Amino acid sequence: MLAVSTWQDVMDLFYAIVQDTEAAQSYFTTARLESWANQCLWEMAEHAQLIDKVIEWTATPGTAAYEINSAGHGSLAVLRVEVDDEQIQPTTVEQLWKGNRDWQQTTGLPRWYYRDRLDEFDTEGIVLRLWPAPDAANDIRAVVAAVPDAVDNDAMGNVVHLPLWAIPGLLRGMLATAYSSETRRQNHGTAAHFRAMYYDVIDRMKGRSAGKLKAQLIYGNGPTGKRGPDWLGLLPPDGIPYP
Amino acid sequence: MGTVLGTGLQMVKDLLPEQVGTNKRWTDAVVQAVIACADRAVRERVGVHFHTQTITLANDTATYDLDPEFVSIDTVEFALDGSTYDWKLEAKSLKDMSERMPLWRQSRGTRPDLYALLSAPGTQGQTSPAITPAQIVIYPCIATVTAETILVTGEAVIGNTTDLATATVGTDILKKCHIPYILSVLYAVESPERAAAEFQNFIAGCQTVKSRFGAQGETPSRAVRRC
Repeated sequence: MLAVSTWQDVMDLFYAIVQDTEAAQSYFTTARLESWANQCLWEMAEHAQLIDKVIEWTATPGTAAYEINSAGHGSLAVLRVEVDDEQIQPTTVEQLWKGNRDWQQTTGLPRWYYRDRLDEFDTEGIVLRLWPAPDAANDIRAVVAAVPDAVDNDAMGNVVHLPLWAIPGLLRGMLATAYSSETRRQNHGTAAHFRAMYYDVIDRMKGRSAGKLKAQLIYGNGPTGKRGPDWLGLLPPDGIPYP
Repeated sequence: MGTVLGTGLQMVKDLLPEQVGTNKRWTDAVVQAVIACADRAVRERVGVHFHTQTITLANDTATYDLDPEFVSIDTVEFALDGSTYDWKLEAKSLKDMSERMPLWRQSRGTRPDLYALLSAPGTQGQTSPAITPAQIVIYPCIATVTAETILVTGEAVIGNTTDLATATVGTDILKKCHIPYILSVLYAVESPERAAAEFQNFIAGCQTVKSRFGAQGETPSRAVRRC
């Protein structure tokens, strides 16, 4: 429990703080904890985009569309796509229509990818299309902002897929959900407090994972007591484009 | 000065008499786990604890795993002979690498010039089942290495329980930073208002301590970049 590193550590500490045990599960079942933890992990990832995953596959000649989640990754955003080790650029259907009215029939070495006007609401994750559609078995590599690997009650010894310093934040998020749920331990004041601590960690993660900064932008250690809370200094300015 | 776990636990016991210990409201183990959480929060916020990782480079390899202790990466240095660090890599993004050399993944050199990061520093990983940790990507990588290493330095938290058991910290830092955080957890059910106030004390305490260190000299620049 002291290491606060694995899913077992987090669960043990959760039960200790709510004055319960994993054996008794008087108020909260382990299944519910697993669900809450994964919900928090998803929320942290959506806010802070802290996990990058590199997904590689081989293109099928003639096939332009690929669902990135088919590899089992919970993907949130495409950060970068490479074809045969060379970066290709994002575009839109509108741009492709402007450039070539036969664009849908064009095949060749992909130079662009687009994600608009694709029906991805019913899919598990991200669909992207390459243009031109590949005419060979090109090596494709995508870097995506992804959801951390889920915690699993059948693999309690697995590490939690977060920065070590942020794992207590996951615990706060679970506690906030636990104390706001309809149980005999419901306490909205406690839930609000833990939620504030949880969002504080998410705010700091936003700064710590600001890896998508432009190259020339360097930010320092933040204020030294002359300005407001230092987490403000960690956040990148608005308008910084993705790579 | 006292140990984080030992002195911290005694301070909590003094503040919550008859509530911490065997067959009491909180066991020593639970309070020490909360102290461990507090210590990470304090070190992440104050940013004066550093960790170094030496990575031995491998043939044709651009991507290497980073330790989970890191909070951010400050410098990456290179040593041709594995010990004389006389070359500093520049923090860039993968996009910058592509702009400099479109097929950078395929190019090779004798000294890496640039590095980028994948995932927030400190992201944990494991071998089996595979969970990918935070990684560093260097450019150019080296086709055939002999003894080349890179030395990664960055702000960090304490990563293992052995080091945490012997870690020391100024008593007033424990009072200003760790203890308010711990109380903000332990009081959360009994008095959410008190807990919220203690959390604000923790933030203010960390700000005060950070200012104290920041006033001693130049603040190191830091770059955290990924794609």
